This record gives sequence, C-alpha cells and structure tokens, in this order.
Amino acid sequence: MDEKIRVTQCEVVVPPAGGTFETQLVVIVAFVTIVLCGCGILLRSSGAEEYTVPAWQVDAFSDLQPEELAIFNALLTSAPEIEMIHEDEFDWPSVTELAEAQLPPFVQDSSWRSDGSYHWIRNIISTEDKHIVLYMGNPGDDIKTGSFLLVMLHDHIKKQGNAGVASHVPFEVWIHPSSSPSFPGMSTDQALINGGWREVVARKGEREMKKSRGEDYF
Amino acid sequence: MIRKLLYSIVFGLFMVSAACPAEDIPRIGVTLHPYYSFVKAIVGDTAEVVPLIGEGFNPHNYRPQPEDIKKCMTLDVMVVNGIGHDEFAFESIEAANLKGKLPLIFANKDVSLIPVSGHLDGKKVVNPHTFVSVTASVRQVYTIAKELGELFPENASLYRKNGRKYAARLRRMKAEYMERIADLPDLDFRCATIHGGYDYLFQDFGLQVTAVIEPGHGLKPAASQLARIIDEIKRLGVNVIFTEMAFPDKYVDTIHEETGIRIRHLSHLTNGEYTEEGFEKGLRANLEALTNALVDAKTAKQGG
Repeated sequence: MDEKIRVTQCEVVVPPAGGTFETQLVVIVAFVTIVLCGCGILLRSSGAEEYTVPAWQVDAFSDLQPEELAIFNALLTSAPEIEMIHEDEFDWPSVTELAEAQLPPFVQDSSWRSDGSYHWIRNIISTEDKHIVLYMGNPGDDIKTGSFLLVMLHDHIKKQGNAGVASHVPFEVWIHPSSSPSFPGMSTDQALINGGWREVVARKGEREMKKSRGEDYF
Repeated sequence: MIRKLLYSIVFGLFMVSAACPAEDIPRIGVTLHPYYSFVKAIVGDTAEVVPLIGEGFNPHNYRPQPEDIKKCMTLDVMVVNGIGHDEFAFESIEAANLKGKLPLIFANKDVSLIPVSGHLDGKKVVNPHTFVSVTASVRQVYTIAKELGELFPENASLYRKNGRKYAARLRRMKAEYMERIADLPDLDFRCATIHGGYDYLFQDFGLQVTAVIEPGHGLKPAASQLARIIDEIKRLGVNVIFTEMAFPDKYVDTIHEETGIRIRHLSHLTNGEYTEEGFEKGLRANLEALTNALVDAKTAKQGG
C-alpha cells in the first residue's frame, strides 16, 4: 500500500513550431508561379503596333483639331451620297444643291459656323469621261487655317503619279495648311502632294475591329 | 387506270408542295436598338429583323443566354457595332460555332472614329458610341444598305433607295433643330457628361464636351474622384451636366447639390422597345434636350 511508485523522469526538448519548412515551400511555389506566368505572358503577348501614316498623309484621329475632324467626318459621310447622286443623275451636284440637301459640311448651319464657316467651291476636272470632281473648302474666319479638298473619283482608277495603291476608293479627302491655296488642276496624288496637300486618313471602325478581333472575322 | 395514275401524280405533287415550306424571307439579326431601326427602315418587309437580346437589357453588361445562341443559328446575317458595344454577340456566335459561317455586317466599318473628349486625364481613347448621332449614323446606314444589297442582290436597289431616304430623314430632323439655334450667338457652351457617349452628337452640332465624369464607361467615380470632379466642374465653368436617361445615378444628384448646375438627360438610345421609329424618337428627344440646353445657356449669359 505504502509502496512508492518510482517514476523515471526523462526530458524531451520539443522545438517550437516555427513553420520554416512550410514558409520555404510557399515561397518556392509563389516564385515558380510568378516565373511560369511571366513566361506565359511573354510568349503570348504581341507588341502593340504603333500606327503611323506616311509623311504625305495625316491621321485624322490623332492629328486633326476637333473642328477639322468634324469637317472631315462630315465629308466622309456625305461623299457616298454625292457618289449616289452622280450615279443617278450623271452629274456632280453643285455646292448649292449639297447645302439644300442638308449635307454637312456644305449646309450653312450653326455647326458650320462653329467649325470655321468653310466656303466650298466645285471644280469638275475635264477628262474624256468627266468622272472627277473636286470640292474645295476654305475657312471663312480668321481663327481657322487649313483648307479641305474632297476628291470624287467615281471608281476611276488614277493612272499616273500615285503615291499609294493603284486602285482607289471612290473618294479621298485632303488638307492644306493654307487658308487659300490655289485650286489643284490635277487630282493625282503626286500633283496634290507637290501642291502642298496631304491626304487625311480616317481611323475607321474596320481597323479597330481587326485590332481587337483579328483578321479572321473579315 | 390513267385516272388513278393522274390522281396519284396530283396527290404526290400536293404532298411534295406541303412538305416544302413557303419561301422564307431572310432573318437579319441586330445587336442594338439603333441597328433595329436602321435595318427595318432599309429592308421594309423584305426581311425579318431579329433583335439578339430582349428589351430592357443593358448591352454593356449583358451575358449571352442559351436562347441567344439558338437564335444565332436561325439567322442569315447579323449587323453588329463591333467596336465595344456588343461583345455578347461575338460570344454567342462563337458558342454557336458560327464564327466564319454567319455573315456579319460591321456597321462601323467605314465610320471615322473620334476620341472620347473631355477626359480629365487627357487620354485619346476611341469612342464607340457612333450610333448616338446623325452623321455617324448616316454613314452606318449607307454601309448596312450596301452590304445587305450585296448579300441579297435582288433587293439591292430597294435597300439603296430606302437607305438614302432614311438618311435624308435624319438630316432633315437635325436641320429642324439647327434652325432652333440658328440665331444664337457663338457662345462658349461648356458641358459635362456622365460618360463619353454623346461626342458624335456634339460633333454634329459643332460642340465639345468639356468634362467626362465617369473614369471609364460604366465605372462609377470613387468618393475622392467625385470630390476632384466637383472642383474641376466648378473651375471649368460648366453650364450643364448631361446624364443618362435610362440609368440614373445617385452621384449625379451629389454633383448637382454641390455645384448647383442644371442636370439634363440624354439617351444612349439602347433601351426600350425595338421599333422602326425608335431611333428617330430617341434622337429627337436628344436633339430637344441639347438645343434646350443651348437656349438656356444663352439666356443665362444674357442674364435672363
């Protein structure tokens, strides 16, 4: 009963749970993840192409002032209508007729005033088939400088002196730094460039769509 | 015997004709309300115009549903904006395995795009709201009419004629409102807009947006940004703030309370019923709001 129980004492050192191994493991996994993702991004990314136009052209989106862009966009929208009038009536409409049809930028309304009160004149270039017409607009106020030229080619392929591609859209828009340049006598790119004109290039929806969706959608 | 043979031939022909459905008119899909109006005005009764999504959905955050994918499979062609307003359409097309098979008409193909104006950080970002306008909408009408004419050549001349008629109607409407502001002196009109959705409309009127409030389309400004915007609006001497008619936001009231500047409503034109007249009605309301704001600004400047 009185028998003493003898307990053998032994000391065991228990190290604190510092989690060094787990920490190292997490750091290694994170590092591997970053490396893999970085490689993936580098392999899959394609450098964004900087869009630039040749020296003889002007990028409407980035180079034109808001008022100039408004005139350019109006010309770009009215040009197909002018083309259709020509197809139906076998004649190029006069500036007065364009204004009467409420076609901007020919109609003299409040926006016409805000955008520089441009005065337009028409010149039909005399060719065998009379398929070329030029509409030139000069600013009517002292603030704006720069003139516009709408060249309607009516599917007429320019034969000589073109700086761009051989086949042309039915119309082009050009800009001149002077507010009163002389009316061009020829409509070839080279003649216009020599006269100080630069072609205005639109940033069209087509380019944006190709950029975001790829060529296979077209 | 001959009679029996004749009867059987006639019966056979009848059965064959019954089995073949009557010639269907083409089904043209559209992704946004304005395109419904444009296409309907162009095709009249020669085709069925099918909205891809139902009325009342916001196209900005719409997720394609199974029925949209099924609907895609029944279309002959689809008219899309393609520059940031109808991502759901492309998701539906790909889910239906129709990429490259379903003809698409990119309404904006030939539209000259403009930057979002009034960005307080001065960035030049492409503005996709080409349909909130007259001029850029007319350009899209021409593109749609031309490309539908190429797909359905038997109606090409009708589509060309209808497209021109519709474009003339839109131009006349713009002229009507231009008449209202014809006698206004050249005033320094300054406006702020909730998002960059109205730049093309303002361009039609020879106006510029002074400030855009949302840092990105659909992104609400944080409290600190809102405070900066309020200071900026006061500094810029803004005459009027244009907010969205269909999706009112509480922070606009805060701006109004802090600045006292009048709030007017414009429409993004992508809500309500799908009707042929829908676009013209919405556009008219926008032109009304814009010209009223200009008349008010003139009265205020004259101390009236």
